[in-house]
Amino acid sequence: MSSSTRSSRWRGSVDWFSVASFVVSMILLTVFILMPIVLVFTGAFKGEAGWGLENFLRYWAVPSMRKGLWNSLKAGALTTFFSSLIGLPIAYIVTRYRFPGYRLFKVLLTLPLIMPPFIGAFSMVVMLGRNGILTNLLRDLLGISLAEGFVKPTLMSVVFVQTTHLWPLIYLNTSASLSKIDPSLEESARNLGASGLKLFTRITFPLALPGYVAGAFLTFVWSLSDIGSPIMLSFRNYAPSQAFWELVRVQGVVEYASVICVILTLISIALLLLVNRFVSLKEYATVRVGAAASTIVRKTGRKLSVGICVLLLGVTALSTLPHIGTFVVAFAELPKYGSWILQGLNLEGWAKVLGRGETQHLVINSLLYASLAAIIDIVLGALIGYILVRKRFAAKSVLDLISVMPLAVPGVVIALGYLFLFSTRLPWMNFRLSSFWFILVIAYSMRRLPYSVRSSHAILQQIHVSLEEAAQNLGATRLWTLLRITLPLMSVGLIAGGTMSFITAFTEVSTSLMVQPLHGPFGIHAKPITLGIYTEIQRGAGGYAAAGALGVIQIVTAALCFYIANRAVGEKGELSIGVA
Amino acid sequence: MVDVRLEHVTKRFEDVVAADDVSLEIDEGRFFTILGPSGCGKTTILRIIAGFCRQDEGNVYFGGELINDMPPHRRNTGLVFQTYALWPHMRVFENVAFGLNFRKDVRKEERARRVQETLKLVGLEGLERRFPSQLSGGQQQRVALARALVIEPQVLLLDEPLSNLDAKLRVQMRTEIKRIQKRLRITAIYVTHDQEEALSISDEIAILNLGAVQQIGIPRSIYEDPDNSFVAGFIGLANFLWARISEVDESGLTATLTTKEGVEIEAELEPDEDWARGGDVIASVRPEAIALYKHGSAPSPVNRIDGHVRLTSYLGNRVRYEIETGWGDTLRVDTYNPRHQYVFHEGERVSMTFDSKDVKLIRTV
Repeated sequence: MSSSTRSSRWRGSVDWFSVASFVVSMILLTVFILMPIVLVFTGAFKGEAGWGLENFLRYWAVPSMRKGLWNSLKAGALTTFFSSLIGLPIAYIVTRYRFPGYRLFKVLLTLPLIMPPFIGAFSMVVMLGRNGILTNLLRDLLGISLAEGFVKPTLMSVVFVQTTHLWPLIYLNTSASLSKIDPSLEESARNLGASGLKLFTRITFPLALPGYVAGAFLTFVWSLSDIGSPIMLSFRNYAPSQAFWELVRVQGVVEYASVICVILTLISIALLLLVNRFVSLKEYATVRVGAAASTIVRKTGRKLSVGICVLLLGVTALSTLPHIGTFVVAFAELPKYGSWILQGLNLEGWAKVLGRGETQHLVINSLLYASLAAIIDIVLGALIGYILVRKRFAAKSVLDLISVMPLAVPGVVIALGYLFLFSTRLPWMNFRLSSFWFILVIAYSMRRLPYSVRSSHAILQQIHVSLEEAAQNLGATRLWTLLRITLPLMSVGLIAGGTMSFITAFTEVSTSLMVQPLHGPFGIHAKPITLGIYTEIQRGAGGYAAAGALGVIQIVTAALCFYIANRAVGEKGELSIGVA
Repeated sequence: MVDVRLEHVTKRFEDVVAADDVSLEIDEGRFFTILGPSGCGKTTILRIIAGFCRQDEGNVYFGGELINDMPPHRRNTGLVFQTYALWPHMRVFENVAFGLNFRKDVRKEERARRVQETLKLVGLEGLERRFPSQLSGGQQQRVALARALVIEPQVLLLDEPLSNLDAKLRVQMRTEIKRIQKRLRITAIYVTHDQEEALSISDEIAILNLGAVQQIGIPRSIYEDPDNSFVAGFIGLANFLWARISEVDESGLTATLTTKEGVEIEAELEPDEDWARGGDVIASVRPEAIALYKHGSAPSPVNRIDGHVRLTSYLGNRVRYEIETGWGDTLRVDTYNPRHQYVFHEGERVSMTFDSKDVKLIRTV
């Protein structure tokens, strides 16, 4: 009798719903993640004489290109180094000490996260540039002369601007790891006689290493593939921005852009494989916000408190400089050349942004694009996360791999790939597909997808399977269980993850600048907000105020979303922090 | 309420056999317990009955109907999970009422009435509006039970439902579960690793080890008449003496055994047992069946073993001794109500005796 039952397969683990979801998400990911990357590679390896390294050799023969690659590698290393210098001690202090102003500082330290990087870099020029407000102030009041300004078209300035923006990545990832360390591990080391530096180097730091490595990796890749800061500082020889220039320049060599993208991708993938020995790839995407209460926390004495507060105040001042700069540009009449005295209120920028004309569409466009991208991320992320956690079949590892790819592939690469992939004109359209606004929405959502997949992955792992089984046991079908039990339980985390997707899309730089949409939902004014900021600044001094106003809108929106996401997730949840 | 039958059910996970040719017959209205150490496959069997897990071989019947291919939501079983699995986003009322959504014959007004009745049955009136996180462990357990009972399942399945409660509550809840089960006359299948729980609550017990059924019987027969050394050792404590049958008397009711060390043991045999001379057996004696005397003062030379006390543990209602025999074995002896008795100290030389009726012979495998 056993043979008769053996043949009839019970439709247990794999049902039509998950098969359908798997097929759909595989198709989407193949078209929108894999294909663009493949096209960039074929574009780089295909020269006039056929397949080969021809483009690479031509690229390598241009001295400024070699210089650009070397510069961005150097910037990556230096920015990671300086960000570690700031981020590591702060992570340790915040997780292990309680000092006056602790809660306030915890909020202040996350401020760089809500700073849109593009306008942030510009504000740094306004504040600390050759004719910067702060540069002039320091000269006049304290007699400190920074002849050429502090932020100027040099590599070190790029590193400086990137560091002020990126150090929280190291701080947050490391402190997440630190706060997860079981206190008994440190206590037992103490019990056996370890203390001080020995305890830190032998026990604490090795245990926190995965978080630090994740943060450092994200920082390096971000800096390596940064377009925004070099453009804003007019620093020409920087590989990713060179790719951008070659693309938008009238006589640009598109092959150079492809070659740069391939090199950047290979570097970050090689690094990822190296780094993977310390921490699983999947861990990168999730960062726990809100420290666990169980870690050993010490109250500080007066001397230490003062020291900590001075350090944190300094870091906060430095990293809120872009925010201040943006508000100044948005609301004030900038000082005359060589002076630091603001000339009074100036609301021209706001009139331009909120009034009629091209600029007024920017905010609405970006709100729409970012919302749609967030919705796509929520749906697709939940679906893929569900398959990865709850279903068992071999092919899902492919899905896992592709969905995590955008994490290691720089934004420039995705952007260039989209331009290649959607370069065709459809018969009924008289324009290239890539200039259609929805393509930008897809690009936004795909760049952020690894984060939403990981966050729904994490949420689902916290939802015990028995909660779903209990529903089925009482008579609920699979679909019912999904709708009434699984989804409601996931909802808070999904919304929080979606909000984060929204912020990153709203302030995104590289695809916004490169995939320039010309056909929007409201006609020809299809630009996203970041591209609008770029155009305004290109106009020169006359456009600064509008750029500032747009920057303020980005900051406020990001702050609002961040607050909502944080509230929704609460103390215990996990929230993924990404970079634009 | 139906009877449940498992026929030659086998389930493998990779190279682990979680259920090894398991056959069970559970009569209607019985309280049936599957008892075994952790990892023995008892939860797997429960999940096969609930339909969450498909057996590799064998059949499952509910009331004579073959249900191998019936998905879990159609089986009409009520499963109480070890972790309770209460939905945190629903109130107590919604949790309990959930299953009634899928009973088309239950109308809305009746739904509320049935939820109230069931909550009353488990003693949770007035807590309908609470969320699970606002309940104590014991109350959560009752909600889980109510949720499983309200659908009037054919079979109630309980997967170690009491293991997350403290000792006192555990005893209280198990009496209550038993009371409710008897009142509803529902077939219940209960999984536990706690032998005392199993003995006290069950009509019938199946002992499981490494996926295979070791013995099925009423609690008394499991304890007093174990079929093999695993059951004897797992249910309560037993002292094992490896011996050979040197003589069986003519009536076939008494046997004389000789241990490896040459000690003679007399054992009374059950009338239906058939033991042959020269066979190897394990003689099992429960700790509470052994009497302890000062060395040399044992009243009878029959079934007497000498040794010295290695460990004395005072446990309040009894004293547990570990006695090392002359040949190096350790036997455990329980002396109850020690209040007015002499308590032997460690190192003291003692004599142990036991009645030949208390020697249970087990076949060696």
